Amino acid sequence: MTTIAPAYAEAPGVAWSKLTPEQKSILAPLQQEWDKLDTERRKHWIGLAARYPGLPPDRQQRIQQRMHEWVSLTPEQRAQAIERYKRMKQLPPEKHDQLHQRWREYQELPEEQRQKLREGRATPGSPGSPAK
Amino acid sequence: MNENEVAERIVTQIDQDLADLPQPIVQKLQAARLAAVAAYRPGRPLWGHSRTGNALNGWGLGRGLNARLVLPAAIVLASLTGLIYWQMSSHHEEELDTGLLAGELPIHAYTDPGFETWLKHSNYAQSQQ
Repeated sequence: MTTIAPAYAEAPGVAWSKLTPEQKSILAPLQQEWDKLDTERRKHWIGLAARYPGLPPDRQQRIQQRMHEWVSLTPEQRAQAIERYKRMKQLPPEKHDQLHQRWREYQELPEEQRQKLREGRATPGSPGSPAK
Repeated sequence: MNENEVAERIVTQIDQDLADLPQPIVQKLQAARLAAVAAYRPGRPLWGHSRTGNALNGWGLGRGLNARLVLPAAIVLASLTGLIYWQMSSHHEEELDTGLLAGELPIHAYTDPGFETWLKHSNYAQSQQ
């Protein structure tokens, strides 16, 4: 019969060396930053690693590619990104398609125009401004 | 997955959650335990008086709950409620991050304020109103 370790015996997953081989494989992009993450963030990533095997391959690949970028953001940037994601997630599916189109349009804008938009200086009527 | 494996996974999850409890919750649980231990008197009934041996009196139902136990119980209940809320919100944030990281839009789309301004001038803004 398998012996069950008592609760509080150890805190598995807190240190990189304590992660399981599967967790290390999934979280490999974070290995260099792992020691800099606080306990809460480590727990967060361990939770993500638990759900990872159940995700489709394309989503798994995106997560792998974006992990490093995500942890390099400041807490304020992460909070800001999550808030925007929440708002966009509430849109109906057809609006999601528009979001992707808008993102493509935004990327095609001249850098000067994008900078104006970042500074909030662009108006709907100004040259190069988004179509209504 | 057999019964032992399920039990092991549950214990592992509990270990992780307990080890990562926020300090305020740990302090509340410790305070509740100390209060409960301090209130305990060997040989005395937990609830009210039970000298008659009557089951109802033994539970103190006729005399009201013992205040020495109500307070620690309330603290424990409040702590557990806080713990459950914290775990739920933490799990919610994890789901958000997973969706954000695995979504079709790149992370930069959510961090670039220019894109949000761009969206405000489009149908996206209208759908938000």
